[in-house]
Amino acid sequence: MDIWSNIGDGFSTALSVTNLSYCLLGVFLGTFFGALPGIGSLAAVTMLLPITYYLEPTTALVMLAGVYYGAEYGGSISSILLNLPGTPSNAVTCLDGYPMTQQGRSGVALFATTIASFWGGTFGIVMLYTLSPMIAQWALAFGPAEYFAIMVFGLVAAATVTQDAPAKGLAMVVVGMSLGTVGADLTTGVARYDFGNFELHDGVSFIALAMGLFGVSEIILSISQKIDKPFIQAVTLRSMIPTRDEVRRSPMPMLRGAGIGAFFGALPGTGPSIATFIGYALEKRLSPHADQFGKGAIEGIMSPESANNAAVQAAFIPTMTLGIPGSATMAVMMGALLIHGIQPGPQLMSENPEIFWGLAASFWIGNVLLLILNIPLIGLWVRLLKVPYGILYPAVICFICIGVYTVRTSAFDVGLVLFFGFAGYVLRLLRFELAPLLIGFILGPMVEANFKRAMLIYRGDFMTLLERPISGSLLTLTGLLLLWSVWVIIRNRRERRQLLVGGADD
Amino acid sequence: MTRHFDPVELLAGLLIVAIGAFFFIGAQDFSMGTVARMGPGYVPRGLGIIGIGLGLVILTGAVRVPGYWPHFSFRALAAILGSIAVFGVLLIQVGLVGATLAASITAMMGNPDAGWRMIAITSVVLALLCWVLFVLLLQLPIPAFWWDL
Repeated sequence: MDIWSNIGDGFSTALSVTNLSYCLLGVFLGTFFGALPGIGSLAAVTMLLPITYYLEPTTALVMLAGVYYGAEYGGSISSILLNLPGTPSNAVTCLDGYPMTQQGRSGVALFATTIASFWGGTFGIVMLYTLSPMIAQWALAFGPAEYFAIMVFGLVAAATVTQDAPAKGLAMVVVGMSLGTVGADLTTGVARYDFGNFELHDGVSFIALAMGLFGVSEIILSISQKIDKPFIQAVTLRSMIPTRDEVRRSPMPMLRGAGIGAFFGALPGTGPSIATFIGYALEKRLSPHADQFGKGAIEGIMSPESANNAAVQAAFIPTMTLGIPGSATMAVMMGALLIHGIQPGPQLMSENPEIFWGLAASFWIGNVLLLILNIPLIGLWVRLLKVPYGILYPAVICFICIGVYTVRTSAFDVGLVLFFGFAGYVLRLLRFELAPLLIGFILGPMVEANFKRAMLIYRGDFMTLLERPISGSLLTLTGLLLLWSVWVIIRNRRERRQLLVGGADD
Repeated sequence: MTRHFDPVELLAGLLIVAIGAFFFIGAQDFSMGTVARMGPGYVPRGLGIIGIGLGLVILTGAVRVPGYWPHFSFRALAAILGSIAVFGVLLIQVGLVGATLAASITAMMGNPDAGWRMIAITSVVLALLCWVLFVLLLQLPIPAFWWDL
């Protein structure tokens, strides 16, 4: 089928009254939770997942995706006004966004980041449109060996690339995969690790796991460290007009940021946060005004915000075409599809074209809605930041509990949230990253199934996996990644021991 | 600060070894099968061994490195976990409104700055909000009061 007719069909799906209203609801709630410091896009998407349980799969995804990119837009608001990143990937925006606020120019910063986000998002969507059909076409020929290799590569990349402690990242993947084995074995039906609880027969509830690990543990951490409420200045439409010099300096950082974002967003294991850091570092190196960075340089907010939103949209490419989520938020998104009985992968585009193209079209509509929400209605979000966290978090806890209970009408799952909330808090105290755990949990059962299938086909000969061109090169890449991680581990040790020797002198 | 080992890495390594051992020992109950025809125990056993190995790697990073003991905030932890427990127990005893009210009060105990008036107002408003939003508007299948059970 012609790509233009697909795009047209997508827009007619996305513009139906139901999908349009859930898209608006999604981006509105996303901006709301994103703007609140302490609740990231991941917690927001997980918390709203149960609401979408009763919706059509397309509508559910349209709304959840809206929450995700809406939160990235909203996250820049608190970065700029409060110097507190609304989501982790807005952290870089604090560097130059908050100095602009201190100079009384928060309006300009908010306007500029909205435009940069819109451009980045649009660029990411164009990449999604052009690359996805090609990748899906290519991946149709994949067998279990290729899937096994690509998933192992994705898991190892997610655990090692951006982490400064690769062994701990890998450990989290293994814990996630082990939790994924709980429940009935796919081929024999033997119940594993259920300790007689029939509730665990279908496996650990994904929603309870995600909410406990991310939502609950985040709240415990937030209230144990006090946040001062600074004065928030009013933002008027008039204060949003940038100077002529700033307008001239903005387009190139925005273009470069979008390219960086789309690239790192589509790779497994990297994602928005690292894209924003690279975008910022690149602009600082290229800019003739490098001395102004950190003091309110417009380039310092244009590039990271453009990169952030391009990465968010591009992250849907591997999830939708290969069924491999590159980040924890994409793992939740994929979990939502699986709950509705839809398996993301190369078949998705041919078997459920309305989901892929409708979703892609809704992204652009959602970005237009966000432009409206973030420029004329900015005053609303600024006022929202004045709501104290102390009355917000009990509501979040109750919403989490109600959400988890409703999914399976099960008080057992509320108990699981309690357990994973505690586990998440302990793991964070021990400086573990939780995202690899969630990705491992989602991909674990698929890795196991494909591994079993591949070994059955090749009669238990592991070497066949290495001899096939695609799976062989991916597994070689995985091996190189692991070798590199070993080097990182040894180097880090040496540095920290040096620190110890140096510290003994004083 | 301790000079001879990093407590965070030590506890992290021990935890991962324990989790790996748990899944490895648990997997002894399931048949292993052969490589070509794997039984339900094959993959969990493998994961358990890899987990133990990674835990040991983390442990080696704990020695001869300076570090601090992690700061455990009992009050925040007890309030939030308590609130979830209260919600789970009360929901099937007295319904949504009572459970939300009690869960909110428990959760707000974790905030040392919250006065009793703020706790009371927030919790009552929240309980009513949840009732209107989830039961009356969204009509989710949750009992609102004990007579709906």
